[in-house]
Amino acid sequence: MRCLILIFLCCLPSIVKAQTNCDLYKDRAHKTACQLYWKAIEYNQGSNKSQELFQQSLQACPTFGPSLHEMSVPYLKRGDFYNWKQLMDRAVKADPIWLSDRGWCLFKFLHDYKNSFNDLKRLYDINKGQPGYSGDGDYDLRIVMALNQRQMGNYSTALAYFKECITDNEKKNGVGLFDYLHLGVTRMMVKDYKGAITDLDRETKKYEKLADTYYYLGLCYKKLGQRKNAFNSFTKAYSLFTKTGYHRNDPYCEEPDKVYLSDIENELKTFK
Amino acid sequence: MKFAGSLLFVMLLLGNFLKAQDITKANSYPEQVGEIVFNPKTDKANFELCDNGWTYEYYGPGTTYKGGAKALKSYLLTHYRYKPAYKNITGYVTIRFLVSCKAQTDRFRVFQLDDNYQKTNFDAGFITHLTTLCKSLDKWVAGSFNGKPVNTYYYINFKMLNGRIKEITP
Repeated sequence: MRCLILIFLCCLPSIVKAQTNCDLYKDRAHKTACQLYWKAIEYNQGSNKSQELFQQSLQACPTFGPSLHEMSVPYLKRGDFYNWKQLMDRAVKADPIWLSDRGWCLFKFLHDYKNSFNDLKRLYDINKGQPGYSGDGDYDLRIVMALNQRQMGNYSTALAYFKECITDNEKKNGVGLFDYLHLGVTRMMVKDYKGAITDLDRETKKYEKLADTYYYLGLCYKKLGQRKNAFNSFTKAYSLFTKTGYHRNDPYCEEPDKVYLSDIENELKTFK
Repeated sequence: MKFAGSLLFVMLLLGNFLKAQDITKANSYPEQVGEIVFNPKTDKANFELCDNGWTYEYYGPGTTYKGGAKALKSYLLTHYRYKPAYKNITGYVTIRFLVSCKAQTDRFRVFQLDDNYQKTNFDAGFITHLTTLCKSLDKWVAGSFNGKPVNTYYYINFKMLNGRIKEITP
């Protein structure tokens, strides 16, 4: 009996995979494309075997979104934005659901704020104000829309998207891990230091050990002339960064509102 | 008749060109997307690599620049020299290269896109300037696995607006 259960558990992933994906398609083209997609992702991302299988998948069904998307990923990560964009444009043309990924990647990898916002706004409109989440799960895409607007210098529009998203997610107890940080930094940019401190304090409750938050708190206190609070915040940021805490880091790209140790050290030097 | 023949020839050429642009119709794929093959005309013959040249992507073993992206950007922005001849340059320039296990760089390759992500060719002097700048970056920290430094690919992407550097990623 134990052996049977073990065999069942070992087979479960492939049974679930097959059932939840390819068997749902009624037509032969999609079913074949789907089966080849699953074969392709068994190989290393970006390997010729993987890309060849995606090619075959797309020969079976040229508009099969998962293959277009997955085939595009290594081009994106390796700086070939031409081929990434070509594939993602085809995916979006086939199904606007891929606007989420294209929009998020335009923001993250290319800092193309205008086109990123346009993609996410289109999705926002299609999905009645709920564009979904970023590919890494870090962000409600309304936060990315807000960051796009902020980076284009449209602070009031940015704040409106932050407010809408955070208010909505507070009701669901689902505020993102960095949402208050970005909102706080945006308020700081418009010189609303008290408002920024309120949001950054919220962030410290959400993510207690994030050094970046304390750095921005320090900047706001400094602007308000509260030197003791500023010093304590920078000291806490330094301690979290170097010893007991965390700081924003991503293997692919520099993250928005990321703080460097040199930023904190330079601020601390001004207190000596 | 002669004109029709020429037109057909041009259309065939264009068709082949467009086909070549579509990665899903490629005749073959490199061993790895983004692989840079040694070119004796442009690359250093004495560029030393570990592990028989096996090369990872920067994001796996964590190749960085001393001082992080902030220091890298600061260097590039400080040393970039705008010229009026660059004023129409808007789009993206991506320079991909290899960082060896010994933190040396070589095998630089350049990709140029306009702001609609279509292939283009910018002013040759401008491209040489950006490439030279990237080649002069000399504070690389080679990524490692289990404490052993490895070779990695890296890229620097310049978002250009009217000849000025607007953004540098990643």
